[in-house]
Amino acid sequence: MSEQEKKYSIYQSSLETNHIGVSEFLKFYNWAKQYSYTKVTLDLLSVNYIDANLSAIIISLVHKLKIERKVWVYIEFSNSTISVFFRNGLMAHLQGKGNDNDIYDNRQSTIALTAFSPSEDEQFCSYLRNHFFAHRGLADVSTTVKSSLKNHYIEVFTNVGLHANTSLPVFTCGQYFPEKKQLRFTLVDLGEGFLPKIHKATNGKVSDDKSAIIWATEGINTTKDIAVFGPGGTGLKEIKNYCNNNNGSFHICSGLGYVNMLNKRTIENNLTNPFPGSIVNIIMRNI
Amino acid sequence: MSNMFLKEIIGSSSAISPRTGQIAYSYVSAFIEKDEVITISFVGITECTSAFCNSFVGKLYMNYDPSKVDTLLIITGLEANPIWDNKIHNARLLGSNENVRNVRQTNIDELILS
Repeated sequence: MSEQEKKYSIYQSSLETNHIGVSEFLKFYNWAKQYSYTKVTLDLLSVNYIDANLSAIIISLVHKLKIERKVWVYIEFSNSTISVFFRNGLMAHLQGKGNDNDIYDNRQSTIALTAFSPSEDEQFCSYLRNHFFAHRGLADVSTTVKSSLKNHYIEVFTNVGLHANTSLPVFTCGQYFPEKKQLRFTLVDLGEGFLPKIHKATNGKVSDDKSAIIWATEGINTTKDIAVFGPGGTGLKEIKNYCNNNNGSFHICSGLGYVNMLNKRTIENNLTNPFPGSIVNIIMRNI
Repeated sequence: MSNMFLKEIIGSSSAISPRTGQIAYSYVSAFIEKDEVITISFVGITECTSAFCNSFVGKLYMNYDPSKVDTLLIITGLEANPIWDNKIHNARLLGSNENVRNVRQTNIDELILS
């Protein structure tokens, strides 16, 4: 196949923080991983809108293809979407600059796309302190709520270190929507996902990705080595409870499962193509 | 009675990772072993996670008699952070439950072998 033919086009006009948006990127990943030692193009020219926090998902898949398949991804963005990706650092990552982004976000609507090692807990805290909670979108949020949210986001990050079993980077990115008074935050790891350890810990009783996600958020279950790390399992439940009590949404995607928790309801979706790791999306409303 | 700031034990104001929790656990367990009272202050801590609390406090309650830990470990400096107080409370409960489960299993094992 020629260079020109190694192109995958997404025709959805809009990609948002939900199972549909994630599915579209996974269809691309599933297509691209058939190749090796080559360049492919992801054509997003028909996509007029993308939730910028999904940059964390885009770059994680690009990174995974590069290191595991030696597939280099070139992305074509539409004119209506490209600006935010310069401002939030996705372009800098795609250009190989990592977390160094020279472009200033003059609209102050982005929370920078940032890569962390799973062991960089303190650096993640610093990111939250200096980028996330310093964001203008959260200026009117009380100190108490900010403190609570900071705790919850740190819990998500430490979960990666405890459970994901990977040294590959963790990618985080956020986007503030002032008209909607919403903040969307995405954290992605490229670990082994929820199911393998939970399947083992439950002696096979939990056998699919969606059930594994739900098991992990119940608050009493854990797969970590209790003798080493003590009892546990409450971190994700605390985030779920916070979202339930504050009109927020908490999405977890792992493998073929995409679970959306909001308003004390749980909505389960199946993905056609598995995500090679885990995604946590948190949507805060009325902020 | 000994008094220590947690941030001095773990060398950081961030009580985040379970590995840091293990440092605190090792420090305090030395006092529990000697039946000595130890007060740990959270003053100066800026972040605290469930994973840390479970690895520190939860593990103490799991590995030692919970009533003994109640007597010997005093935690202070949580007034400004009720969320952390809640995490520590949960860690105590989880650790105590694991302790009960382990004691029961030991009793069952001994019964079977007798």
